[in-house]
Amino acid sequence: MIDLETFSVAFINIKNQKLRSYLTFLGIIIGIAAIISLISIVQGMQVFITGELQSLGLDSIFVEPGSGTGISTVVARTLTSDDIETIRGIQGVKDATGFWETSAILDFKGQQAEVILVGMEPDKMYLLEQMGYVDIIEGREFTKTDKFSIGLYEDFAKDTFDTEIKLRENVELNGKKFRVIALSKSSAFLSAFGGTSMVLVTDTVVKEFFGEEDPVEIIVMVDDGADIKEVQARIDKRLEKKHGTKDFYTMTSENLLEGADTILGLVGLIVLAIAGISLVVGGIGIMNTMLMSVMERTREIGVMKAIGASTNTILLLFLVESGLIGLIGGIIGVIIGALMALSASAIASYAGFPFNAFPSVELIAGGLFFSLIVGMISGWIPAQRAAKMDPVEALRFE
Amino acid sequence: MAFDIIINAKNVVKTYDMGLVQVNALNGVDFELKKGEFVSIMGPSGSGKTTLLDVLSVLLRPTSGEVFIKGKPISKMDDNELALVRGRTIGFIFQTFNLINRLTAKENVMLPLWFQGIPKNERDSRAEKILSDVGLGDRVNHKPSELSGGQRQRVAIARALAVDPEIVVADEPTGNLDSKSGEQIMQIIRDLHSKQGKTVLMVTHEEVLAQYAQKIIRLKDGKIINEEKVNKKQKRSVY
Repeated sequence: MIDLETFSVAFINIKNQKLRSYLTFLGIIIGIAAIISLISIVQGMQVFITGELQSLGLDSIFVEPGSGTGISTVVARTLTSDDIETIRGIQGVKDATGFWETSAILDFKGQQAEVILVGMEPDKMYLLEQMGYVDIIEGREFTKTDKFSIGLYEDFAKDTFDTEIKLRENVELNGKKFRVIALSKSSAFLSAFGGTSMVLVTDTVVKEFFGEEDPVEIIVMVDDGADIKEVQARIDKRLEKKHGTKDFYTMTSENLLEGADTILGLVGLIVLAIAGISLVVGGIGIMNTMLMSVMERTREIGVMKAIGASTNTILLLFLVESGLIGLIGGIIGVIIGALMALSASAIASYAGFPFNAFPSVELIAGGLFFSLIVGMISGWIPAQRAAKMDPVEALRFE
Repeated sequence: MAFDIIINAKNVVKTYDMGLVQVNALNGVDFELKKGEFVSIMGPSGSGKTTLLDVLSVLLRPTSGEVFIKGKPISKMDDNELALVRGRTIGFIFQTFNLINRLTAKENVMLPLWFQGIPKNERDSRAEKILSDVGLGDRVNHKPSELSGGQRQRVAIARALAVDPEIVVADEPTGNLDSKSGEQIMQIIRDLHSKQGKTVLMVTHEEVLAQYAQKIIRLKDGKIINEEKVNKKQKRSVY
């Protein structure tokens, strides 16, 4: 005998106790809004990071100095320029190149800014383009004859100084004149890690003028069709033999992805736990409201039983009512949660980290279903109490 | 006639456990309610008349003894069945009306029909017809708080009649009304018996109201002490 009428009667009952019902909704609203917004954000970030890492190429291996366990604050310089040549000779390696890094002061029309100077081998620049680190929109690629040449990211060129740095203009690096030969599109992934203050020069510049002989990172491209895991193992073996100790580590895009997934998964779990607690609290709120409501309506329950309402009818009536409280709270919670997620993604996009955090259909449906279930579970005990009432006692209840 | 006796109570005892003492509200009552009868139950307070009404209207299960509704023993029915049979067979009129205040007059009347699973449009038309039969055709969408006491009791009567029950049970139906409204209500109840052929069971402590019935049962200390026929010629309007 569950029909539309059951819902409309339940709805009238809820409407009749406005303030109390609103307060009860609040618990569920907060819980569901937290779940929807946080899960949307985590999912959005997951999609974004996966996409970005995949754009680095699934056929590249990164060789990094250090042990690879934990985040080292001091960057060890255990890789050498010689290692690049060694890696190039390994079976299954298509090509390899390195980054030489240092910091420098960039001077433009009397204004200064600190930059990270990234040196790269000019004839291997295509590797950086393939991996999306560099996307030249104005100017040209570096060549072997370039020395006092510099490449800038668009954002840096536009925003750092009072006047925009244009192509072919001169800047000074530690007192030496350099000419801007290339402007690159800013990469979202790099800018998220402060990478736009990176300035590209040739490796020779970093080595000769700054005395940084050794690369901070080596990037390896794998032959088409080669097994990336096998190539990674070969590099590990060869370099360890060469260095006599494992003072470096290698990573594939896949490794990075797994790492990101682990962290996001953990964040998601914590988020779910917190949201779960708030939903339990919300559920207790519903139970409390329903218990009070059953108490207040004792006489009415007696009347309904006298005029033919069965135990099951009363049970259903109160279960639908508490389920409806949960569901209404859930609907409002989903809306608020979606708005929170959208504003978070808008803020993040503004900060150069554009991920889409609109909740998926599954998440919305799940949130609504969950709120309904929380409502009905919370209403179970009060509904049972109402259903089991003795009609005579309930009728004479004052 | 198959169910000449609609409700039959055999040696009914109802004991209330009041902690240290046990109180026998009913102490071995035998009673038959025949189809088409109008019976008044009278007795001083504490005599068990309300308990008897509860037991006879199958709201309350006796401690011992058996109650049959249309020949069926209620001890063999579960609470759900009993509710359904009660809702179909018996219409209740209470002293305090017991309307649901947030529902309109029509919705109150539709409620027992809903419990019987009658479709919405039929509930709607039946409720409107019955309300206009009791003279409230222009009050269908009013809430109880917008009605006078007499009007509320008429809504309650309409609710009792909604499922077209064979029995109407009234518990001090005029107890909360002024004498004029009380008279109107008593006339409606009398008409239910005389014109519509309903079986009526009424509890009252007013001798004059009891005289509306054909038969008066007097209770004392949980026992029927007297059963008398009302002399029709003596019947008159009491107000």
